[in-house]
Amino acid sequence: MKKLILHFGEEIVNNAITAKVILETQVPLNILRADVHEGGGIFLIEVPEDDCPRIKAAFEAESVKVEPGKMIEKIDEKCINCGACYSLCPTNAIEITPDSTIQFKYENCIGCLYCIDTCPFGAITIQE
Amino acid sequence: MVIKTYAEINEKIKRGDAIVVTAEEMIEIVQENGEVKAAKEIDVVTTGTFGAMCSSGAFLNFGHSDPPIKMEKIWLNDVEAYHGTAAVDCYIGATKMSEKKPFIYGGGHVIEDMVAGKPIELRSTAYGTDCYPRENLETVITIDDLNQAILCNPRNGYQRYNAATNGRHETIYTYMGKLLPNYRNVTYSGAGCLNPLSNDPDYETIGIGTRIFLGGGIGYVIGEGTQHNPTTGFGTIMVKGDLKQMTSKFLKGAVYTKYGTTLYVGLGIPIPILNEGLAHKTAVTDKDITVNLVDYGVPSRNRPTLKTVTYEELKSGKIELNGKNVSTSSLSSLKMAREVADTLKNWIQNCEFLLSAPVENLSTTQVFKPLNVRAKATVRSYIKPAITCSLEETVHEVAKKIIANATNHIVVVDEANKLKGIVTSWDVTKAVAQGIDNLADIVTTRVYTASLDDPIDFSAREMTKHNISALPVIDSQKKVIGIVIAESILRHFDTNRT
Repeated sequence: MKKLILHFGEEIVNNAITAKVILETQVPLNILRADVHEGGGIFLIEVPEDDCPRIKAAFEAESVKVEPGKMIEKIDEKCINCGACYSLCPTNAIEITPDSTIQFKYENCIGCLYCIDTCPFGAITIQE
Repeated sequence: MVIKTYAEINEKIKRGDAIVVTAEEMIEIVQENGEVKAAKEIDVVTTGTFGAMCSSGAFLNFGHSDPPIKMEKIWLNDVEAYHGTAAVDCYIGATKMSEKKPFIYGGGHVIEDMVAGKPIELRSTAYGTDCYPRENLETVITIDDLNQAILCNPRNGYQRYNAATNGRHETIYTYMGKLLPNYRNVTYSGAGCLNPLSNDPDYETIGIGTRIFLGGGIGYVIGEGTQHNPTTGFGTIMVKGDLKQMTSKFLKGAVYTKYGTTLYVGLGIPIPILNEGLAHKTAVTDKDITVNLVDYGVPSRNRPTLKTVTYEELKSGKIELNGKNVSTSSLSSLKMAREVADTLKNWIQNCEFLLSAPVENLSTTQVFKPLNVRAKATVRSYIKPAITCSLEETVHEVAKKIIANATNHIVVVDEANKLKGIVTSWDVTKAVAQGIDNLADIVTTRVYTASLDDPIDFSAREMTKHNISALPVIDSQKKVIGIVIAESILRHFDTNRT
């Protein structure tokens, strides 16, 4: 499975685009996260790897901006490998290696952002 | 019976013959060869920890400006430093926050930036004297400009530390980090079997004058730390060292969300293996070291202990609590703790660091006393009878109760007097204006409550936090026993002030 971030602009936020794409492509995409307000919206979706190009094209045809799904990023130079973030993650996207290094598995991240404000060193940033 | 002296070990270090291992490596050595053989072969065991140590700070001396100033107030990068000593001395504390960027930058960051050689803005005001006429000063300094920069930490290196969780129904932000509601995560601190004091729990080799690794440089133990509590296994040390020789890798300013700023300190103590007893003690494992798991959701000094856990369990990433697997987070860095112990090991192996015998050992009997605040105020002293109604009553009837009792809050209860909701005079006014007469339509059912023995400060904080002006007081069966309202608390604070 692959994650994609969808950006809906103000002018299209009221359209039933996601439903349309699902019906059109017949791909059962999984909506992991959705933040929608009158000014626009952001979705984090998960799709089967092979269907990814089709889904991307279908959304782009509806003027939706599509990006690879990475909601957060760990800045390694700031990370001291404590693991304060570890217990906050509900989807096992944070791993501790045998040598006690903290590693992010972005493919598991659903962008809940619980970890952001646990880092004492500001080493986790939100991808804009 | 193996007995070595500090002098013998130091001779071996000078010759480059000393056998030095880390506390993690020592475990296997003792398990395989036994204490006697290990005591013969191993000369020094190095320890290390790297975690938040709030009780840290540095003494600085700026030298005299021309004309000179008797600094009265001092800021370093907008973080106020303590000045209550001579003209140009100060103490910058790790937890003091920037006046312009609170909860983002603080004393710990000033220390890190200073050690990294970055320019620091120094600002000072004074009242002016005949000998120190200057009243204002603004300049930029670096650590090289200072006469002395001495890291001096009143309490570092806790032997072990309680693990934290949260039984409340809301997320809380503490000095033990972010704690999710309903015991959903656990945080802990300390490096377990690498912790300095855990490797010499009777302080045979640790005391005033013990040379240590501090912040990437050389430091000294200068006595027991504040809150040193050896009889319960919570010893601490007071340390000092020359900040100019330290590195920002091992001194890091940090922020705990909604709590404040602090300093992460790298600290390591070499334990000389003078006898088999010390070989045995330095082979301590994570499994041997237990700590209490404490509910930080309880806003009292006497937080309940839910169970005891070992560092082995905590380091595994999850522990069992109430039949569930709960994820654990380390707030200190085990990886960096290993680096401290390894660096200290290298120093000793390369003849760059000699051991020193303490001139006086740490106390093994000192007791940590709590502060007893006189006349501790609890909800009990502020409770008033609650005016109640049932859900079957109309808005009109409730309005009449509000007038008759001159109150702003009506507590909604069922037949058994159990809490169902709350209605305020504002809710009723609004309902009347909108022509609503069904009480169920306007009652607030998610009610913040208080218990009789809650500290009043906590109730005041709850009201401020949730922007409300009263808390129904309930017993363990959720039965309403009264109400505490903001006005009563205000009156209390007012009387106390005058």
